[in-house]
Amino acid sequence: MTDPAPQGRRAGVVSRLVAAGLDLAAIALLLLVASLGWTVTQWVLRPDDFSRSAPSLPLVVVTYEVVGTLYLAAGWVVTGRSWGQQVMGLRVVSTRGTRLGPLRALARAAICLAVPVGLLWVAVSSSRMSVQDIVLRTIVVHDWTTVGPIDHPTYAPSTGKPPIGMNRIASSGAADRTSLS
Amino acid sequence: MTQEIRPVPGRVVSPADAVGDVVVGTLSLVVGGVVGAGRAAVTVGRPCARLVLEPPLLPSHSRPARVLGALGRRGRAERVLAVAALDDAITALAPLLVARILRAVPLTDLIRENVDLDAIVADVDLAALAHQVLDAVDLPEIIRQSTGSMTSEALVGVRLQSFEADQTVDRVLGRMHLRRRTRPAGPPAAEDPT
Repeated sequence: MTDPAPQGRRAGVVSRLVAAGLDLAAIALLLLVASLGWTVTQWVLRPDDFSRSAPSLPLVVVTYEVVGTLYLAAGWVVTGRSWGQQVMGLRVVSTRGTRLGPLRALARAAICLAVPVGLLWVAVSSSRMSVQDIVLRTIVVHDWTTVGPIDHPTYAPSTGKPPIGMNRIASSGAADRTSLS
Repeated sequence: MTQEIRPVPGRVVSPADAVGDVVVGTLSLVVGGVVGAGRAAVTVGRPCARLVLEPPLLPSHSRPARVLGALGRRGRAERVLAVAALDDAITALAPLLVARILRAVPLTDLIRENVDLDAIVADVDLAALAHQVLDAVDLPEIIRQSTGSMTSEALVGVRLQSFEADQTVDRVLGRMHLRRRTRPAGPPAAEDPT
């Protein structure tokens, strides 16, 4: 049976996997565009010496890590969610319900990309936390609204009490507004 | 005030103009007399009417002016009611009447026989009309709204399906005792945010 109110509840493994897949596709697209841009630039600057060669594997891995980390961390710091999470209506916040700071967002993005299998821990975790969530004390909640990420309605796992801002958002009817990516 | 009119020296008046002048002069004299008589009647009649309507010997509630005022108010109320009733009757009857007339009259045939529709259409600048309609209708905004609505509905569908899949995974893993604890994921108060 479907719960009629996913708003504010912690996201499960399927939602997060779909969002991660979308983010992976976005990162791959970014890398592809960057590669094409680099190739075209080389061709324009040195048309005589231009030779198309595949990048080395370490370069691809490092570029993937750097671009992916910056992409995810920027989304979590600025809007509280990456593009994939925006599509799936998810939001990353701390266990206190606040938006992530730059350092914690960078660390979380780095762990996500270095240990992507850690996401599967959500399936067996009673509190629906992945490895990176447990390490950095973060959670991912359903948020289908368009309100800002500050003081977002989440719940500390130890108390189960709503944080500041939950009543405000719920009473304003903002939960009825779905966001468009 | 009577203004003395003197003939213009050296001007010859025709007999027809002279007759007309006589007639106009006679009429003006008559009208002036009637107006004067009316003013005299008002001057004399006003105190008389006041005396009749408000005789000093009668008590104020029995004076004819009071009775006439009450009658006037009653008449005004009756007139308003009658006008409203007439209005309602016309509102109810007019559509029936017009429909009956339109059924009886072959309007299309009459127009076809008596009106040059081609000439009317030829006078209409259809291109300008189409431009006006397109200017008035914000077509891009309508397309944007409908597309946005479809996108929103599709997103909600995907989110709901993934949410259901999350719960299914939870139930399956719970049955298989793969969960570390059986505490329900997600805040219980989320179902009742107030």
